[in-house]
Amino acid sequence: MDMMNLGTAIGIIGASLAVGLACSGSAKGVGACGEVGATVLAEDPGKFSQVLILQIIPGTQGLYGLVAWFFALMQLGFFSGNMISLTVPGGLLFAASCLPIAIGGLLSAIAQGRCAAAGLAMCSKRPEEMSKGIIMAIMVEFYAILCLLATFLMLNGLPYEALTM
Amino acid sequence: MTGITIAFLGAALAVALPCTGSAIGVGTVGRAGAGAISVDPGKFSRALILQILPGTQGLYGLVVWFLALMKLGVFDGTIVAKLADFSMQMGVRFFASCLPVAIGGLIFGMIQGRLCASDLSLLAKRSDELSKGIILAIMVEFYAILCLLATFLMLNNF
Repeated sequence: MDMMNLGTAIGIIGASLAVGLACSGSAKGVGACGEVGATVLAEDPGKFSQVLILQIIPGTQGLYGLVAWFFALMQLGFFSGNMISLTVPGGLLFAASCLPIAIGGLLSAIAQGRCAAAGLAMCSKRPEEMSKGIIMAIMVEFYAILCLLATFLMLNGLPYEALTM
Repeated sequence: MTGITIAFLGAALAVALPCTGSAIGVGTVGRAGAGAISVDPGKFSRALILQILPGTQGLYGLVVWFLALMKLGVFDGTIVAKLADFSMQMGVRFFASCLPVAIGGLIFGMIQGRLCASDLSLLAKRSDELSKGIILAIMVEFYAILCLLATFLMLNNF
């Protein structure tokens, strides 16, 4: 990629961070749940479906990151074959728009993974209270959705005609 | 034209960091709440009320982000005109105006989460003293609101 497309390259870095960091957070959260889930299953293998449901909850941030990445690359014209050439400030605006889901996705998924893991530990003692553990873990989800909303609205609101060369 | 990119970065951080702080705080209370529920499932509603308290910082961040983007003209399209006449100095000023709620939201969300988690251990022993625990947690909220106020008044100048 030559210097003419440096802005687009910076924009793509932002899109990559959105999917890379959000997926990393989800992987860490799902992994934390899996660790606790394995010990719960060692005591009672019949709880597998409950363990799986709670383990999936921190996994949504990675999907949000993927949605943001897909939307970002669509805005850049990556899939239609004719990529737009952003100016360098335009690329920086684009990358800044991707930041909320990148930062928020990474850290909220880790926090949600810990919360869901505690819910799993509760499940091993009181399996009938699983829904309460799910609700407490879902409370964290709200902030990942806010971050996705912010990224989406910023990517949608950028004046691309004025930012291309 | 680089001024507006710095301003935009400030707006992005103003929503990302408070949401992160709130997510960590709400997650911390959720962890303690799961422990409290496994002892006594009847404490769920009280645990949920305490869990919501650290969640306000993310909403403050969203309000600031919305105000910042309105000031930058992202929603009504006037951003095109601002691209040229938004100087570097104005961009740094805009970024600095967003900082109080970004830093405060991140840190107060985490602190309030820990405070509400220890309120849950108060509840475990004395389940009728929820209101006192909430008042202790709301003392932290006050400083988050001060940060919101500072950011709001500084952004209002643009």
